[in-house]
Amino acid sequence: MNKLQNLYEKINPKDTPETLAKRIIARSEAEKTGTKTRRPMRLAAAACIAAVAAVFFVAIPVTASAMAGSNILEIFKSYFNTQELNPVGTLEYHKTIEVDNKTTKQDNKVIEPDTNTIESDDYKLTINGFAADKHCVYISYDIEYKNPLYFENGELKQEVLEWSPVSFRVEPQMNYMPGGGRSIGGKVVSVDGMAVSYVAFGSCSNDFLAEDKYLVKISYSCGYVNSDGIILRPMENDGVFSVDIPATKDITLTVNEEITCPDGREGILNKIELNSLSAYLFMTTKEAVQKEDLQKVEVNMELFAPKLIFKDGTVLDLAAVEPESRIRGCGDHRPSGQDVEEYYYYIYGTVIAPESIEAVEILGKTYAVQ
Amino acid sequence: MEEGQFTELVRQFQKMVYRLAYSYVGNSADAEDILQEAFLRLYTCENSFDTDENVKAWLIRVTVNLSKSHLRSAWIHKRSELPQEDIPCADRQERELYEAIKALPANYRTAIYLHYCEGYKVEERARLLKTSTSNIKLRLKRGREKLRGMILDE
Repeated sequence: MNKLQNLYEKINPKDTPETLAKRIIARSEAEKTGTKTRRPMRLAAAACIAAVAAVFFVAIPVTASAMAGSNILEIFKSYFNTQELNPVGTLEYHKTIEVDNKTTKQDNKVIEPDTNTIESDDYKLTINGFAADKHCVYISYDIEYKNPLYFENGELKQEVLEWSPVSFRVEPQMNYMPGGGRSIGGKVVSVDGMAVSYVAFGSCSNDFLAEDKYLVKISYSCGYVNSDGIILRPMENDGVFSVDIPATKDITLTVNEEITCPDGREGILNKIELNSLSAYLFMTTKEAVQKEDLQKVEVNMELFAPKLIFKDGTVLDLAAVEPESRIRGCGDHRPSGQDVEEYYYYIYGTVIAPESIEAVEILGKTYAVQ
Repeated sequence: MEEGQFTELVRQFQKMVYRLAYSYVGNSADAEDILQEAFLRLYTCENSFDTDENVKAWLIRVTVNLSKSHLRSAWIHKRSELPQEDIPCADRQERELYEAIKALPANYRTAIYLHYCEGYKVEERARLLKTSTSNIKLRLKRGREKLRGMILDE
């Protein structure tokens, strides 16, 4: 297998270790700055949100051309194909801008409910909309920058433009928000004509206000990074959104992935996804559950467990298992290094005789189907 | 963590983390992201590590977890694909091997990378990835078989 080693020797990161280390340290510092201005969560609501897995979705495209012809909003809408994106609520907003650690300025503004754009000296932020279900809150926004800073031959320069022609695309990431903060990452995919790159990141938290409403807070920091990985212009912003929760969207059932149980048994993984992020797993020993056999899936929000209702009337209630037999975990609050399987709320077990679904075995215990 | 100590750890493990992420996600842009995220977590991590080996093991777990999360993200399935980059291969045989590796499922690629390039034994990998040895053996076996099958097919 020397050939394999030789092959992997050719796969190398772009940055030198020093550049990468500098970039990470700068990013860490910027994230710390972002954290300082976040408003404290409401304690009463914070107690509620431990039971709520929320997902925060942020899209930060700048130009349509950078999306290779695809419109982020359309992608976003297609993802939520059953839901309209409606700007709702009030966005409270303030920011701090630091330039090269020398200049700092503060700007506090409020976006009224009927306005979804805010324009500053440096950028224009447009909230495209929100979407949410029982588990998740998603936000889409566009951000455009002008007057970008950059290094040229080691000298700090600023391009003064009406609006920057710099074309870049920041890939959004989805984030779990089981009641806490999570950084939102991004990266430059393309930058036209300038030796700069860009990062955007931030954190968010949410309060679960009532049965049908979330309060979502966002803070983020953005900055240009030069070729040495130094963030030139970190910014931080906090926003507070109140988001109505629409009806739970359709579920997705993924099947037919071979897995091996912790005890060594092999089987087929069945995965139910409510929104591609809240997933529930269970295993069948013989054959996969077929989606066409399912009439609907209900989710017990308290236990984060799905109930499968089959067209023939059979019910498989995975919430019926004893709590200690259920493996659960949540989002980014897992200790570093913890297995990613615990990243998801899930149930890991074996459905015995899936053709009739009479019982489900989870971690060595057998449970009758209701 | 001290900046100097951190830079030294980046120097020591950057390639390993990048290659591991690359073996999982299959492209350099995503691997770069995961590389940065993994080291950011190390930098902000409050754990204390007795040895560099412990750091390495921790980084492997975090990298694999980040890679898995990345592949599971719905955005991955919705986004416009970037052009696939290539690596310079010495000859046709190496090209075939590269193509065959790329065609493997992600967890098999990782199993093969950790086994053949990082020299981890089955038990060590099971401990690192918090899974059973039988699972690790199975992935390696299936990975080898698929790799062999693909190369022979070509």
